[in-house]
Amino acid sequence: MSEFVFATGQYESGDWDSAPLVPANLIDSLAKYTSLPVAPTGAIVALASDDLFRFPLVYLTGHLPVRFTEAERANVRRFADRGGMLFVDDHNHDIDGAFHKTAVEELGRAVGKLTQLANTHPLYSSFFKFPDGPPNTAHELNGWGDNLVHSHLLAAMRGDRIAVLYSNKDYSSEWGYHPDNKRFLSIDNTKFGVNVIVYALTR
Amino acid sequence: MPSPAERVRRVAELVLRATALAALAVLLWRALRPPTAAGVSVAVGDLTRALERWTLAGPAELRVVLDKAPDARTRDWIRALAHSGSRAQWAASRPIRGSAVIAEPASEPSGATRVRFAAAGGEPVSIGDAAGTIDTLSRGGAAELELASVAGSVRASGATFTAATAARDSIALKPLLVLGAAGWESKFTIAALEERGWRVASRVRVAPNVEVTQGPLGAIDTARYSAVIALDSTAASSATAIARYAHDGGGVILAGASARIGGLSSIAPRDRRGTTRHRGPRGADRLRRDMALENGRRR
Repeated sequence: MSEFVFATGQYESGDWDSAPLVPANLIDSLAKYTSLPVAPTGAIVALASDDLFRFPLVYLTGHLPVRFTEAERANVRRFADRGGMLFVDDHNHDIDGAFHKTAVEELGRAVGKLTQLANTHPLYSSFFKFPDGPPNTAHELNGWGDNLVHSHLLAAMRGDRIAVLYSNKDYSSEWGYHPDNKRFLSIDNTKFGVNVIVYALTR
Repeated sequence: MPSPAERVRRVAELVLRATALAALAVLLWRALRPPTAAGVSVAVGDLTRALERWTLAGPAELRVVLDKAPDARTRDWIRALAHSGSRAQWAASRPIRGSAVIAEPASEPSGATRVRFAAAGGEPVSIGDAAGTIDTLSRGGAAELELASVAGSVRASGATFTAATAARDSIALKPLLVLGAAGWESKFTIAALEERGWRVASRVRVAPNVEVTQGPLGAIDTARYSAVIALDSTAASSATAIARYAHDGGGVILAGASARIGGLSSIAPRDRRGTTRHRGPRGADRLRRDMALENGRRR
């Protein structure tokens, strides 16, 4: 059985590498909580590359406006159709920011309209239980950002499977720290990341 | 002195007795006489009328010259004549090729019928059913077809042969059980089977004592599952049940590390020396490679 490799998607526009600590942190959580074989380091994969299809889950983030090239758009569409899952997180955690507006528009063009994901979706119980839906981030709660809590994630579906999961809760900031620093947290805030990975690997 | 009527009656009685005895004698003679010699050569087109004639006449010997393989009815008829005392011989006016065809339900949710046939020699072969020709092969040989539906019996025919078979009944398919760890392999195995129309039950291991499940799960037995697919070593916890399932007639596919599970050694594939292949713990090869020295320095 091949080990899971956490892949970060690279796209031509914007700042795709804005959350370099997230992969290591989620890899650490996956190894800590599950028995899944996981590669100790993540990978970076260009959305326009055929290597995209080597990964079951691709993480995409950034602050800046997103505009896919034609090749990126076609590849993302094929990736979603063929069973892959794209997890896109707005690193700005705002409601109507540049990343949010352009990413939602661009993803809609590539894979179809994003719709609200019910907070009872199996994603929220694929490993840890999140009965209230997506966990809130510190940035949402402390008023440092837009001072609003995003109640739902968005998704583009293929059948009953999530092909693209979109968050503007800024998990990229929430999970962007060295794994060793988890010991300072009373509750590990990366647990929802484990759910996303487990969901991507089982559905 | 007998009356005239009495005389008539006696004469009539005598005549009737004589007639009855003569008839008995004739029947006895016909029953006990040796078969008459009758060597006949016929082509297959004339065989039905010849068989009817031979059935009434009971010849001592039949000689049949065929220009193509006889059908089942003709074969049975000749065999019956041979059992009734006629010596049956046959020859071919030209080389007759052997052929065989079988039609059986494919183990597929689509309900397809799988037709396999083989025809010796290089004759063109036509495959068909009651609805007409399905396919042709220009040079005989062996082939397999998967047909969505079949009407009546299936036949494979060439210039010198015809083989026919009736499709067997359909089979009832139950869900498949897929066991594996969360990952690309289990995800796509399940998705591919579902796309093919199978109902899939799965137990996907995520962590010790944590499994993601789907579909009808229960004891692993032949009444519940059509086959069990073990993708990796996570099937070890069900090894006893899987081995029993296989011994009960269930189909098991062991992929990857599942073939090295100790509890499945009785059903796992073996190499030519009769020993189960063992490649050491997972990742050992890579670990060894990573520790290799290059130019005296660790890579």
